[in-house]
Amino acid sequence: MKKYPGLFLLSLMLCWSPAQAENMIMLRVSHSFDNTMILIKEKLDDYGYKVAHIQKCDTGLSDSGYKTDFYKSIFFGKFEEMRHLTATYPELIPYLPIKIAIMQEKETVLIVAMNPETLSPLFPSEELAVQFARWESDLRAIFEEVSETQKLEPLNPVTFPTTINQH
Amino acid sequence: MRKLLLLICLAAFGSVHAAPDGLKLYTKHCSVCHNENGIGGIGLPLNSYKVESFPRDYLLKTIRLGREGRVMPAFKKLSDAQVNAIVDYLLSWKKTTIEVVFSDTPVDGNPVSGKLLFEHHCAECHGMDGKSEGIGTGVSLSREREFQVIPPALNNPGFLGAANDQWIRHTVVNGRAGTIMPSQKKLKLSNTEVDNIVSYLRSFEAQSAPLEKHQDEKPTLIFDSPYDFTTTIGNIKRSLQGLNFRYFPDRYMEMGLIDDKEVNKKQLSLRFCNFNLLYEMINIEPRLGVVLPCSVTVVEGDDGQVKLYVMNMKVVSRVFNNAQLTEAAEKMHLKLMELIDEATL
Repeated sequence: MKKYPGLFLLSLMLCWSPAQAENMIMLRVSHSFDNTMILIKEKLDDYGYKVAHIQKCDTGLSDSGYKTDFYKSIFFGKFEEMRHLTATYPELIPYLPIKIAIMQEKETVLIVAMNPETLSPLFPSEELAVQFARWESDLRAIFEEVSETQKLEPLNPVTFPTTINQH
Repeated sequence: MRKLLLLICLAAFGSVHAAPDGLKLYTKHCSVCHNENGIGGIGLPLNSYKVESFPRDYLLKTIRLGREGRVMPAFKKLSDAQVNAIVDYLLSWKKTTIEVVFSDTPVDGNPVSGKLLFEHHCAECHGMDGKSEGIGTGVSLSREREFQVIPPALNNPGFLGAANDQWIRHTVVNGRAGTIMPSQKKLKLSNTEVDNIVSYLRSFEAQSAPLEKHQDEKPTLIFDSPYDFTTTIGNIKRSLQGLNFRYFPDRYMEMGLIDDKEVNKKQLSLRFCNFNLLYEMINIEPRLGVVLPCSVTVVEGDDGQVKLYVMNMKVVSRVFNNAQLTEAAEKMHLKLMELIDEATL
């Protein structure tokens, strides 16, 4: 390896694919809403996270007289991380625990999380940069695993009616 | 060893340069907003009647440039081959094989006359400033919408960078099937008048400036409370009631992550919502759930000082690339400041 450092570096560069630095990590799945919730909770557990609580945005909106489909947020974290971060970086408190929003959109379910990397420039710290990167990596892996549970098939485009529908 | 490295190189080169799969890329990067079959959702519908008239170049540039302040991000890190593959996939939805191409020849109209025509014929949907009158960007999140398709913001650097004059002209002449956008014939516009409108739209380019609000603001607002922990919490709850917020049961920060007996009871998160406001904001930005609900966290330090921690909505709203949300977030910010003032007075 020492003999061909240039070649080795080139091979690494070719293998490395830069991650898209999107502000949101999103996934659309065709599972039912309830199954999606269960699946996400299972995957969070696999990655060592605990669900702290679930915010039922839909219930609040419905109680206030608004028509809405299923819409919930899952708050999750790791106790040691939470205790350390709130003590060392209290300015991070409003952003904790991290969360995933899950919303029904007609026959599919949308899963969205704010990309933790987005917080990196807002909270400049080497330790936090590592933390945000770890969260991003875990979220992407969790979303990927949830995505893999459904079969990828070419879909036929659906054409909209030419009249305007009032929903 | 040399052979092994060469093999790694070749394998890596092969994986990078294999023809990208448009369906997979669309599913990964686009379907979350535009839906798997292009029927739209958070994003606009892209299905057949739309792509039928879209020039390839317009789609390529739209993916690259995004729509500033209109949710659609700029996909700058996708390779040209990947963007091409996505566009190929989108164009495969077309029912015809006719390729739509428009020359880059600028339209030579009179923007001053075009402004008057735009205000008369187009502003009702596209807004007097060309930034669209529709709320939100997509079609629906299972909620009511005035239009099935939100009229696009024309005064937007992404749109103006992607659409050339001839393509805009074609759209004004033919209208848009499947939407309420009328044709030149229906509007009884002469060819010169169409040219004037196009030239006026192009003149927006000189006005469009990037959104750079709140760049220097802190992401978290921190306030000292002159009261003790319990009194501060009581004050906040009273203020929340006064400001018409509904508050949820108290939660310590660590609750749910460890046994309740072990949680730090000097970190209490007061979570609240005004559902009228929430409904309005979710219509503008369906993904808002990732930062909900509104909260003020009360923390007592080892020295007994009580501090309040609040997310700065003005800063966080930038993450959504949604100019309408940024405006709504500023209103929300003022309400939160009113709350803090009352609670710490």
